[in-house]
Amino acid sequence: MIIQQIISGLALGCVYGLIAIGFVLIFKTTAVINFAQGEIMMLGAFVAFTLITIFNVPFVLAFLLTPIICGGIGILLERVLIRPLVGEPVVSIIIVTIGMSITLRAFAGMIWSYDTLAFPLLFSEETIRISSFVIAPVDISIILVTLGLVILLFLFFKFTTLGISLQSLAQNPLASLLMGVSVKQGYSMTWAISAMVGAVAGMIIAPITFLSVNMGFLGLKAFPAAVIGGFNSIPGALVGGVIIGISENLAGIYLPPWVKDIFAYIVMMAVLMIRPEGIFGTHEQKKV
Amino acid sequence: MDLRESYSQDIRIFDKFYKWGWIASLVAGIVVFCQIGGDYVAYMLNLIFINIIAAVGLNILSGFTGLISLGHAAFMAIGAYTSSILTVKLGVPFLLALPASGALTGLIGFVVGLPSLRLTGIYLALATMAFGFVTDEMILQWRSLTGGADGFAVIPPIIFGLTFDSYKKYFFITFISLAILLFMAKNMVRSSFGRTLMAIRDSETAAETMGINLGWYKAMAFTVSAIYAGLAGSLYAHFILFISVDNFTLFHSIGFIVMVVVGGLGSITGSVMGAIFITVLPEIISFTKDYLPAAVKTGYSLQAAVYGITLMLFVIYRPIGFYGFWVKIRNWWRTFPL
Repeated sequence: MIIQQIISGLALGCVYGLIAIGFVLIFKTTAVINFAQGEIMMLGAFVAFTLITIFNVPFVLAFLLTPIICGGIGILLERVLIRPLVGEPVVSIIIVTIGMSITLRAFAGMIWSYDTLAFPLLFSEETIRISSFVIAPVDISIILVTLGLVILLFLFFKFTTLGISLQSLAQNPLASLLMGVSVKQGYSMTWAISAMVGAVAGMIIAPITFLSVNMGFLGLKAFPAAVIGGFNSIPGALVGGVIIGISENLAGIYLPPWVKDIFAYIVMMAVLMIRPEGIFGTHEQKKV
Repeated sequence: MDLRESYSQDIRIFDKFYKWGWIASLVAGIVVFCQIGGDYVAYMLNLIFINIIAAVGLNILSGFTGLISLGHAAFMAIGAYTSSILTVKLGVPFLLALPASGALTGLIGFVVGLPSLRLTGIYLALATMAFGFVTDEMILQWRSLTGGADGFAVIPPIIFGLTFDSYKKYFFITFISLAILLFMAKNMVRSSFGRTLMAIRDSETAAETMGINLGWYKAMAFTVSAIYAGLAGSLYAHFILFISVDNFTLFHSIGFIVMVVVGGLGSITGSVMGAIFITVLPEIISFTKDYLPAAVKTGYSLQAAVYGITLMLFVIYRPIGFYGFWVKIRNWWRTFPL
């Protein structure tokens, strides 16, 4: 029982972690929290759903096309809404991303209606029995996809020129501009990658949570994940997500049922009180 | 002419005495408008006044002190439930329950504001958001006191034997509260307290160098802001006569931010205009609904889309909000022939 809860918590935590990685990517380069990350995840799920059920695109192809489409949306959002605000106070950019999330949810509601839809299943619903406990294949697929994506991101940031230039941008925009890195393009790419990660998160969580315009609220649970892991650490975001996912499920067993829904926020408030920079985050010294 | 020679001239609410006449006629105009208009007019005016109170409170926090709060609806919820429980369950008169709900909310606001010394920017936004969720969940679970998910039926206020049971009568309560609270807000921001908050907003380091106790003043900004939200919540509860957690969600917190931003950060007049605009906006939208295709008007999507787009456009193109327009028009009139 406990092990099953841990595994399903691990799967859910992976999704929280992926959304949190989206936050972290944007935060590292632009010091902005993107409140619309959950809505981009929702868009990813709906785009994949539309491709599969309406345009009859094969599953694997849809799985590859969706991140590309969402990456494009990410670039568009950055270009139109965020770029004019570079240099403005961070709070105003955060307010714009809040507006973005409201608007995206409203548009999605206009296009796909507010009904809850069932996402086509890639895996059978039969559970796998290993000795005494059962595992759902969906959970396994979520964990594997997350691991694969994180390794891909790691390789991208470690070995490709673009990845390294994005890293330099996060550390010092002026110096990297002088070294020939295009700051504007870099910001666009950051939004694109973050939107792609969000889209993948949406596609793998959709079979569990069903499709609905309001599934973006799941993104609100990813804030605690990012805070716990540290807002400027990519592995931290994943670890934070897993911690939230598992502890939430365990809280569902050992504590009164209603605690489960807000447990993530209680943990986040505790972390903010004790160590605001998170487990893996580095404390930024403010120079006067 | 407009040159100011002394401090008392500088902090005057209106530079010319005759402007009090304008205010008096405005007040008289609103009262007459409400009493001869239908119930709908009175309803809208009440709602606008309550939203103005909450928006002005949030502006003291966000516009004047530069701290963001995503949990303002929770403060309002605390005020609303405190006042309802006091009047319905304990039989406390409304005139006592209203300030009591403000006081309790202020106390909670002080506690929420304490960490704002360490948490800045985004972290504060997230902490206040978490506070909002936790408050809502606690209200839902504390069934014996709050009625939980069933909501809470509130009684209309009774003052000195008079029952304020219609929108037109209730108008006087919200209007007088609004007048007092606006006057207090104006006084706060033109006194040393307000200047302290603005100093913190503009540069924390410089403010601290000048001997300002950052932790205390940030917590006080939260307290004042929470008191306003709590009073607005209390007024809202006795106005709408039935409250549940659904009236105080994250979406409502964001709605107050929209009012403040659209009106203009750091301006009381701006918050008044922003609150009026955002409160009337859904009504304008519902008028246009007949001319729009069916797909656009499902659910709350149209209203939400207009909200979101307005918010983004204002932040990008008019960061100073309606107040900026107002100042422009005013200056244009002043220098008219030139």
